[in-house]
Order: sequence, then C-alpha cells, then structure tokens
Amino acid sequence: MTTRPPRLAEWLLERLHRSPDSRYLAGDLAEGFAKRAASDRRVARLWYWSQVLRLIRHRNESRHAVVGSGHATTLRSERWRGHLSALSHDVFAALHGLVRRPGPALVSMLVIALGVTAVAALTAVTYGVLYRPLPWADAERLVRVWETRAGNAAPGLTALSSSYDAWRATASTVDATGAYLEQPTTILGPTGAERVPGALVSANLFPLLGAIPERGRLLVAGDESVVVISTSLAARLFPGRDAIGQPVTISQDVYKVVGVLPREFGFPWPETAVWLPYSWKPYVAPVGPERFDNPRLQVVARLARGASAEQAAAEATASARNAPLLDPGYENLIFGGLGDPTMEVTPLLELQAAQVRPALLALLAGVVLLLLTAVASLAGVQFARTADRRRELAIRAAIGAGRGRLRAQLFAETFWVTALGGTGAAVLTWWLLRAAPALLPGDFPRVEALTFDGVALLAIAVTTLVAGLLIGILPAWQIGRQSLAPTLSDDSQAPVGLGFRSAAGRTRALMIAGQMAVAVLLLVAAGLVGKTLVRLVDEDLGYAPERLLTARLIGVGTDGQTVIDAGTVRQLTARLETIPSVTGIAMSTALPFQRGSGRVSLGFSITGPDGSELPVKASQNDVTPSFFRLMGMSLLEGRFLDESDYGRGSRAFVVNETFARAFLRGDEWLVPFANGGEVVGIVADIKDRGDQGPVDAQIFNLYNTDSVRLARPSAVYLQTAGDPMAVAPLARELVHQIDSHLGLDEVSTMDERLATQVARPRLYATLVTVFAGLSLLIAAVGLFGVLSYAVNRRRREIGVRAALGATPGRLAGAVVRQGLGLALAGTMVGLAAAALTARYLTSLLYQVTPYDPWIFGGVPIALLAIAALACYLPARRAARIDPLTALRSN
Amino acid sequence: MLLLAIGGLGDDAYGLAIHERLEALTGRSLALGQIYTGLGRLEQRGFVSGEEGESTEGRGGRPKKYYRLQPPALEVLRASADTYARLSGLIADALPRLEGQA
Repeated sequence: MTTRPPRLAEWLLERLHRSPDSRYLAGDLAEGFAKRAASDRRVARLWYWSQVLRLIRHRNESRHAVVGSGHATTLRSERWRGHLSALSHDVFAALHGLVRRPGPALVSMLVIALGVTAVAALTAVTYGVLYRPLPWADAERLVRVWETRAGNAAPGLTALSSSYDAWRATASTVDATGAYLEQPTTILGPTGAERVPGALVSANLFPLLGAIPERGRLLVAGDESVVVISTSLAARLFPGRDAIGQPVTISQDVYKVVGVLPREFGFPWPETAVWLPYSWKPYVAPVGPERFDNPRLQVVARLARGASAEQAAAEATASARNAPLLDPGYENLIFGGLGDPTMEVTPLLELQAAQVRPALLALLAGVVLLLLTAVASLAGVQFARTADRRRELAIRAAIGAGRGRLRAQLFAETFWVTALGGTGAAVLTWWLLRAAPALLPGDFPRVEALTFDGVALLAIAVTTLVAGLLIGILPAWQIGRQSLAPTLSDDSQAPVGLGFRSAAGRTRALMIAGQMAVAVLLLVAAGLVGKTLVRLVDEDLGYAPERLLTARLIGVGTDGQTVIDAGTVRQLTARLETIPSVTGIAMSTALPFQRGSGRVSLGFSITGPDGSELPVKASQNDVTPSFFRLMGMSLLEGRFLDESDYGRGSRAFVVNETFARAFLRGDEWLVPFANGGEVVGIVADIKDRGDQGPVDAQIFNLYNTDSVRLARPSAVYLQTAGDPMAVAPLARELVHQIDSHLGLDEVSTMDERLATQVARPRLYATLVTVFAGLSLLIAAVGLFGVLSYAVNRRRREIGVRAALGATPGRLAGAVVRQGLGLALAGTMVGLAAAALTARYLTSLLYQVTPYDPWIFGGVPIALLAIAALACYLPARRAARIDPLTALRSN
Repeated sequence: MLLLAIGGLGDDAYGLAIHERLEALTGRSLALGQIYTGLGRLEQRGFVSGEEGESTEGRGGRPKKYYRLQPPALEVLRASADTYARLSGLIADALPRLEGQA
C-alpha cells in the first residue's frame, strides 16, 4: 500500500515554506511519514501535520526576525511582504498554539459562541418582532384607534361606530380609515363544523391596507352574503378547484366566495382565514328602537403625512364628543362606566408587540450585559496570560519586534478564538431562529416572520468583532503602556499585588470589582424573575381539575335553524356519558384560559336588598351544576348550584370571592338580588384568565339548556378515569354522529390549558434563569481567573512574609481580605444598579416584590463566597509553599 | 548537540536521521524545521558542509542532503569539552564540602 502524507499539509508546505533546503526537508518529512505510517497511519498524519505547522511557524519567525531587525535597505514592497508574512505567521502560530493547548481556548470559544448566539438571536427576535415593518402599505403610518370612557376601554380595544363615524366624516389628521371586528368564525369544513379565525371588515379596510387579491375581488360597499377567504382555507375547502363562486356555510348562512387573499396579507392576524363584509347603520340618538344600533369596531387609520398620533387622538376625541349621546345602560354595558369619550391612537406596530416589548428589551439588555461579563472574563484571563508572558514579549521586543508587531501577535491569538466562536454562534443562531416558532409560546406576536437574515448576520458579525477587539485590546493596550526594559531585568520586582500601586494593579482591581458588579446585577434580575417562575408554577389556582378534557362545542346551520338546541345538548351529554372511562360531564359558556369572546366583563346593575341600584362589572359564566365538582372548586360560603335550582322560580347565582368583596359588602354576604335573583354561594377565586392580572368579579349562572343558541359558545368538560386525551377521538366521533353540522374545537386537557397559560412567563423565567446560570458560571470563572492569577503573582511577596515568620493562615487571611474588599466594592455598585433596574422588571414579576430581600441578600452573599474561595485557594497554596521556592519562583 | 549528532552518525548524517538522533539524545520532540535552521546556520559559519545525496524509497523522489563536520567544528567541540571538564572538576571538588554543610 502506498501511503501519502496529508495533501493539504503537503500543499501548505510547498506554498509557505521556501528555502534552499526545502527539497531535502520535504523529502525528510515524507520519509519520516512513511516510516511512521508503516505502523500507524494516524500517528503518522499527526506527526506530519505537527511538523509542517511548526515548520511554517518556525521559518516565518526566523524570516521575520530579519525583517524586524530592520535592514536599512529594505524596499517598501519587501517591507510590505514582511508585514504580510508576519501576519500570516502570527495567525498560523496562533493556530498552532491552539491545537497544542486547546483547553483554555475551547472555554473561550464556547463562551463567545454562547454569548454571541444569545445576543444575535435576541437581536434578531427583537428586530423581527418590534421593528420589522408590517407587511401592509405605508405600514409605518398605520395606527389603531380605540375609545375609552371613564378610563375604561371597551373589550378588544374597540370604538363605538358613533364615535368612529363622527370622526371619519371630518378627519384631517388621517388619510384613510378602516374598521373591522375580529371574530372566530364557525364554518362547515370537510369534517364537520370547525372554527377559524375571521374578521368582519368594512369596505374601506382593504384599500387602506393595500390588499391585492390572489384570485377574484375584494369586498366592496354594499356586499352581502359574500366572503373573501385565505389561500390556505381555499386549498382545504376546495382542493383542486377554483374557489371563486363556491358556497361556504358560515354560522347560519351560506356565503359565496368572491376573492382569495394571499398568505402575506394576514390581517389582523396571519392565521385569519375568513373576511366577511361589515356595515352598520348610522347611529342617531339614545331613543327609539335604534338606540342600540351602535356596534363596536376595531379601527385602523393611516396618519396624514406630518400628523402625529397625538394630533389624531385629539381630533378624534373632539369629534367623538360631538357624536350623539348613548343610552346609559348600553354605555355601561360596553365600558363598565359612564363618561365622555376619549380616543386613543397608537401605531399598529407598537400595539402588536406591546405585550412582549418590555420583556424583550430587558432580555436583550441582559444578554448584552452577559456578553460583556463574558468578554471581561476572557479579557481578564488573556490579560493575565499576557502579563505572564511579558518576559517572552520583552525578549521579542529586544530582538527588534516593534510594539505594533507584538500587538498584532496578541490579536492573532484572539483571532482564532473569536473567529471559531463566531462561526459556532452563526450555526447556533441559525438553528435557534429556525426553531423559534416552536420554542416560543403560541401567542407570541410575529414569530412567523423570524428568519436568519441580514439582521441576524450583522448582529453576529458586529458582536463577534466587538468581543474579539475587546478581548484583544486590553492585553495589547497593556503592552503599549508597559516599559519592557525593567521587565527584562527582573519581572518580579514590579508590584503586582491587588493594590492600586501600579497601573496593572489598578486595571486588575477595576476588573474584579466590575465583574462583581455585573454579576450581582444580572443575578439579582434573574433571581427575581426565577422566583416569579416558582410562584407561577406553585400557584394555587383556586381549583384542582384532574384528568379533565375540555372542548368547545360548535355548530353551523342554515335556514335560520339553531342546530344546538336543548334536545341536542341533552342527547349529547347522554351519549358522552356512555363512554366507559368518562366519570363526569359538565358544560359552561366560557372555556377557562381563553381570551376573547365569551369572557368579557360587562357592566350592568343589580338591585340590592334595600332597593338601591348597584352598578357592577363582572364576567358571567353559565355552568351546569356538575361544573363545580369537576373543576375542583372550593366553596367559601353557602352552596354550589344544584339540579334543584332548575325547577325553582327565582334565579340562583354563585359568585366568586372578588365579586363578593367588591359588591356584596356588609355582614350578610348571601343576599338576594331584588331583580329576581339570589346569591346562593360564594366560591374561591379561580385564576383562569390566562394572564397574571387581578381576578375579575365573576358570576356563575345556571347553564340553561333551553336557552342555548348558536351565538352562545358552549364548552364541554369530560372527567375521565384514565388519560383524558384518549377519549378525544371517540368524543369527536359521537358529536359528529349526532349532527354532522356539529364539531368539537380546541380539544385539550385542562393541564394543557394551564401550561399554555403560564407558557410565556415560564419562557421568560427559563431564559433569564439560563442566562443567570451562565453569568454565574462566567463570573465565577472570571473571578477565579483574575483573583487566583493576582494571588499567584504575589508568591514572591508571600514567600518573603512567610520567611519573616507570618503563618500560612495569616497570609491567606490577608490576601482574602484584600480580594474581598474589591469584591465588596463591586457588589455595592452592582446592588445599587440592581435596585435601579428592579422597578423596570415589575411587569415581569408575579407575587414577587422588585426588592425581594431574599434575593437582594442572597445573591451578594453567594457571589462573595465564590470570590472568597477564589482568593483563598491560591493564597493558601502560596502560603504553604517553602519560602525559598517562592523566592526563587521567577 | 547538533554537531555531536552529525559526528555520531558519520556517513549517514542527513536531516531525518539527525532529527531522530537529537530527539533520542534530548528526549524531547523537536521540529524538523528547527534542525534545518540550525544546520543552515552551521553551514554558513563553516562548521559543516552539505552535499546532495540520492533519493530513497518513501521520499517522493526528493534527494537527501548529507552533512559532514568540518575542521572548525572539531575545534569548537574540543573547546567545549575543555570547558565542561573544568566545570565538572570544580563541581566535583565543591560537592563534598557543600554536602558537609547541608
């Protein structure tokens, strides 16, 4: 078998090594390779490579020494070549050093790769979610407009049509307006009824957004019983056919498809699949039969050039106040309060991302700080190593290497570390961004727009470059400052303690304190958010649902029939109960953890026992008596609703604790409502809103099977003996059997609903905790590196003191005291910064005060303990060694 | 050291052989390039002379370069030997005394 040396190495040898003897050398290498290859090819290859690398380094060095020592006659071009060769030498030498001792470099690379990934991925997400222009025409001028009364916004950030019409007629601050109303729409799909996201839209909305249909036309004024659907829905409903002109059953009517909108349009949401025409009669006055003809609208407008959102808001408010008055009962119903209208105007982009904006920006700031800590640690280690190599560098300087050359050499060493780290970061970021839609909570805005694009690439390039420069600059700067001559004569005479006596000492002291400060800041923030996570997970939700399957019962019907009538519901419950593993069944009008329809708090008034009108604002949920048992709710007073309530003349209610506190003040909690109702029980608050806000007042009415209408969504609960999801297919099948126009939607277990509820806070908390763990690790490594280096440098001094009779314990104590002093100073700065930052974290916290004493106390103690250990271990080692050895240690 | 290695190898003193000899003598891994640099320097100063030889199997057709010691090298070696001899004599004298003290 013929064996050949590695081709690349051979090529490198030919290209980079030219000397009179190179032919002989190459021959020798080939022979050496052949000899070794006879026994082990791997060994042979390794040997060959190592020889070639050392050769390149060695040769360039010798040539450079000639250039560096400066022959007076060196021509300009030759000098240039010298620089280039010096550069290539540096880079190869650095690579060689890396291959020889990969340990420290690997740590650096890993730190850079992770740090840069974190920064770049978050930058990409932040840009993609908060700043990337929306996909509609003149998107930067699009605003959302809504109405508030007495400080209360109507559900869904809507405005009344009266206010909108009054403004639209005379508006000068906006070019164009449009109105819509998001509405989950029930359609008859290939497998029964299903719900898709939809919207009612006014005819002027599509032109405002610059929509262009893929097929057919858009909606125009006067359209009735026609619909525009999305490309994906068209493909699902009419596979292989032209959707235009086809009928679609939506809710209780049949609509004709007139247009298909492309995927990119996606307004108001990317998933929106159905757009129905929306029109309303002009509102006249709070009298007569039309006094409630005043629908809520979600309003979009395009600001006129030069107009600001504030100007538009002022104009809209003034117009709305001239609009016809409302029926007070209606106004209270919509807004939960009475007052003059005030219009709010916010850029669409800002509003879409409003929920995640503070969190994203805080996280981004966090990771930038983290990367800075990491870079500081690496710079510290590099700095320490440079200081150790001052002798070597001084010798190089002595034989003619300029400071620029020495600096270049140091940069070359960081070059590989940062280049490889950056490459790793690029791969990781690419992967993370691809996985982002799966990793982020489902309701995270605009995730679908995230791609590995120029922004991510730029972020990686800039961050890597900055990190590399920072890591390389500190040591290089030190070279620029230090006088090398004394170094050569006797390095150890230079003061190298932790004190401020020398420039190097000062730099080191600042670095130790600075690292402590950043670590404290990060860890406090992480601790607070982490504690929030613990609180969220451990939270008592007020109920204990077990093995519960939940679903929404939906249906479509034509000819004005109500498909889900009382008989159907009874039939359904009876059939579902026959499933063997089902142990209980309940129904309600509102699904837990669901936003939007069915769960709005409406204002109305109840008449108290003394006949006084009591305005209340509460959300209502109609439930069957078994609901309370299935949900595991706890009763505070009175009783739950039961079957006997169906037969009674008066209406029975159960209210939650918040309702009772807010509206039923007095000794007697269980009071009859004068308007034909009676509160029979009070249950503990349940947190089922899917956010961390306060629980709203709630009223539980009897779920009345006689009054079930299509417009009223219904939720079905099945308690099972085994895995709830196991009965899902059977339940679907049963529903479909009873009526093919029915369907089960949003089928999931209660546990899953719970998990999605805390998904976002959990994600943030997880991220912050991961960052905190990383920063703790980095801080520990950095502190250990810098402190133990500083202590090691003092071995000579320690040796002298030991020789003079100081005990090891005293010596170690002195060193630790000095190090801890610096660490303490850094901790103070960090705590102050953390205290300033903490209040900005409030929105991320839940049941944790921003100044939690445990975290503000625990973090510094833990970090100081690490710092103390980092000083003590090397100090003890230094103090224990023989004084003579220490004195000679140079 | 280099001179010793060349001298010890006699007629077989070419790059790879010198390299192996030196690694054996010093017990360290050395770069072939360093050896050629050293050899080049010695050649320049006239301590050794080089002569192109034949190519053998496994060299990819490339020739060997054989090195031979020249008179100045012998002088240097002799001078070194004197120095070391004196030094070792001094150490041998001093050692018993130092051991007595310790």
